[in-house]
Amino acid sequence: METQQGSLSRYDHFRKVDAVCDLFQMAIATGASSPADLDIPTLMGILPEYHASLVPQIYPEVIEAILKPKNRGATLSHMAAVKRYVTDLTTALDSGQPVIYNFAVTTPEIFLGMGLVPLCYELLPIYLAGAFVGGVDQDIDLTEDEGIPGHVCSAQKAPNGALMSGKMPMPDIMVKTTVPCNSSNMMYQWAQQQFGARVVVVDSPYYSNRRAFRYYVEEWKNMIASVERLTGHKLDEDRLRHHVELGNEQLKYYYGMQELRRRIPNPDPGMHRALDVAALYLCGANQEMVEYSRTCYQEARERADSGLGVVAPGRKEIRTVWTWGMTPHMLYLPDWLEERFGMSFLECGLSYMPSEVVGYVDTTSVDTMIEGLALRAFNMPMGRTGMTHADLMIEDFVKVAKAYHADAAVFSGHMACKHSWAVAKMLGDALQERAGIPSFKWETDLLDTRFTPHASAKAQLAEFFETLM
Amino acid sequence: MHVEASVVPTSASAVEELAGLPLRADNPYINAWKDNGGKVFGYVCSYVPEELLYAQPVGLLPIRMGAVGCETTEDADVCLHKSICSFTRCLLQLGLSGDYGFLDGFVMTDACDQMRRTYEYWRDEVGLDFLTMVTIPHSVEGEQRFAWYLEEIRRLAEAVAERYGSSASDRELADAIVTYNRYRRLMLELYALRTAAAPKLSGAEAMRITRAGFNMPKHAFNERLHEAIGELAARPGIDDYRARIMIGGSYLDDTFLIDIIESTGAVVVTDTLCSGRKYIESMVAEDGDPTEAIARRYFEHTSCPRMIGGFEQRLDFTKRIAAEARVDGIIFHRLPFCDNHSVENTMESRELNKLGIPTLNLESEYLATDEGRIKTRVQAFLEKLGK
Repeated sequence: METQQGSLSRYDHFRKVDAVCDLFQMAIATGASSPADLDIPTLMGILPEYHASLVPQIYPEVIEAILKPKNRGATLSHMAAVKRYVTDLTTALDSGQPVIYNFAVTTPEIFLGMGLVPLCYELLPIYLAGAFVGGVDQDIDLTEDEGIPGHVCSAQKAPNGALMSGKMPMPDIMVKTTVPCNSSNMMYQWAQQQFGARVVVVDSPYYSNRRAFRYYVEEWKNMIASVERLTGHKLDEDRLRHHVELGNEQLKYYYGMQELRRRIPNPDPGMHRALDVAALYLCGANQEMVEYSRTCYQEARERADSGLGVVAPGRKEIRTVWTWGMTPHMLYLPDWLEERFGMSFLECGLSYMPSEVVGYVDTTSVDTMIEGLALRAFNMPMGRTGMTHADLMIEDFVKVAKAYHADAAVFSGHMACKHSWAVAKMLGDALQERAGIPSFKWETDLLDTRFTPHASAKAQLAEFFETLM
Repeated sequence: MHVEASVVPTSASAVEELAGLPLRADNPYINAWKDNGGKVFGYVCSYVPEELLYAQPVGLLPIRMGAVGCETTEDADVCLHKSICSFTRCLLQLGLSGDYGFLDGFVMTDACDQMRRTYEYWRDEVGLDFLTMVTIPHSVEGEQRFAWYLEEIRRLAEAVAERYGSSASDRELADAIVTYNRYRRLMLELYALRTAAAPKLSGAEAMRITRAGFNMPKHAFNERLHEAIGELAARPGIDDYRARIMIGGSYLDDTFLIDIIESTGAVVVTDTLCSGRKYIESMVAEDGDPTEAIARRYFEHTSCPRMIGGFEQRLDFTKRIAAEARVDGIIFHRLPFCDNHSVENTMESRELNKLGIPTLNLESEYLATDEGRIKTRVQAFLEKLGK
């Protein structure tokens, strides 16, 4: 048994994410609207030593982005939610609860309903990559030192490296849906061998039809039974309902923002897509995450009602769908593109979850809640289109491009994501032929900053957007 | 359908005929099959239940598709990014260039991300009379998962029946099972000749014979293989080799890598490839419901690395085969961008090294390139083995 402080100080990733929450909140609380307005010497003087040591490592562009009025509210509320999540997590760990790592394409509510605090395996490195220069490159290197090649996904290499270096607690159980790819499935097997963790598999069928969903629901029920058996924690109906209701409320705003982004001009800032994805991975975790989604929605709604968009004043809006996703280690990139080129970020492959398909979870009974959560996971980003015929991804994005009145598409292809790269040409062709918009493809890595350096990424994107201006 | 009578063997020696069997449109057995009114179906993954196809009364010849001889991927590269493995791109290249124009059907699986995502290109750009997919759960644990696979197999049979107007009876399925089980037993005999103290054939010869088995009706292949085994057994063995090597890893049906290994004086005596030893292990039960028996064998045979929870079984398999062949070392090959085998090779190597079994992890393209680098690494490995 340890105190909360003990757990926070022991695991570098918890401590660092928690500190980032403090630092971002503090910077915004100063009222500064740009980094030039910040009194850095004074702030450094009042910061705890650890926090102060992190300041030079933070991307200045991120600070610039979060201080803008359009991003302040969302950032503040998101950081509050994440801080609460880390607090709950460390408290649970310190009380001796088993460490449940859940893959991103699972819904946290189911584990919260068992009285467990799920730790999304891929999530903390995503936050750190977004905030810090060189983010989690060292963790990726540690995994590659073990013989794992560069083309394997950094979303797993980074947390594996963090585990090897003691930055996150060793897993007791890992829950893995088999979507979206061989790479992630292999790395969970590797983690099983490396760390001696038990991997509970939720097999995800290739199809997206009714038969496949029935199978998937059974997989979920089997997974719940396995986790209950391994942890001794039983699924509690009331506790589950509480978190599902939080999740439903969060999704109400999530879906509302999807509707608002269809407006011209788009009133929802692009940097929030990355925060939205993180919020989806923590859906139903706490009331603060609901507040984050509510804040985003209300601020976007106010802008929409006033006819305001998010691109720099005087700029023509270039409405863009990002057909692979955003690049987490370039958290500030959408903001930079909004300012420089008038790009607005409508939707992306890591955040798009069709509301008309997923809807809300029916809280009538445990069975309806399990089925509803399974339906969401079945249609979550990566879950919906990662492991099925390419047609679904193509149809989704043609539909999005038309419904959101897109002017262009950007495929920020994560190098490890082979199944997406295989679709990139078909998708680009379909968007041109059926939605009349051009696509730009560029190569990047989800978390490894060295694959395409930021300067190179900016130069490539600038060249594309300049042709559209 | 028996087509042996329609084929004039290119050599009186069965070994020579099998080892030199032309591929694709030049393959006399495939041409004879088509000339006799049969249909030819391609497949790539070892989870496609061949017996089910071979038993169909319409006369289906399942052939395992490879891309040996492919020299460029310029058309496939228009469709597929460079992060898609070169085997997948080579295969699509042959599809786009018409080299697989004789195929009536293609049965794909979702075993590998890269191959599965070419389904749409084969459908839209190549165009085939019949194209379908058999999907496979990612773990063998649990009856629900087997039930899914069994249903996939039954759906495949139904789709074939719907397309061609007839379906295989239990008798026809049972006959196909007997034929394929005989094929597996004969192939195991061939492997026994390889693993002898003085191997009766080289690894490259074995690979070419194995490849012939992918591209011939199994009835005909079994007869010629039986003769070939007799010829090989009568040969003097290879006793001047430098080291006994086992290979494993990504899909391999070309002798390029084996030729390089054997050019150093080593002999490749066995393998754990899904196009090799793994493919021929495990028989289909010859009693009970034949479709279920076929499904059970394919689903539960030593698994592909993509099957979560199967690592210990796969490692045991590697250890058993290595011990049986008394190998000096193991060369794990991986195609660039092959996630399944790159991680698996690393995992297996680590465990094997703990047991004192030396391994070399090599990356090489499906296209015959980079010979000098590969040879240097193999030579260094042999020196490390003290050979």
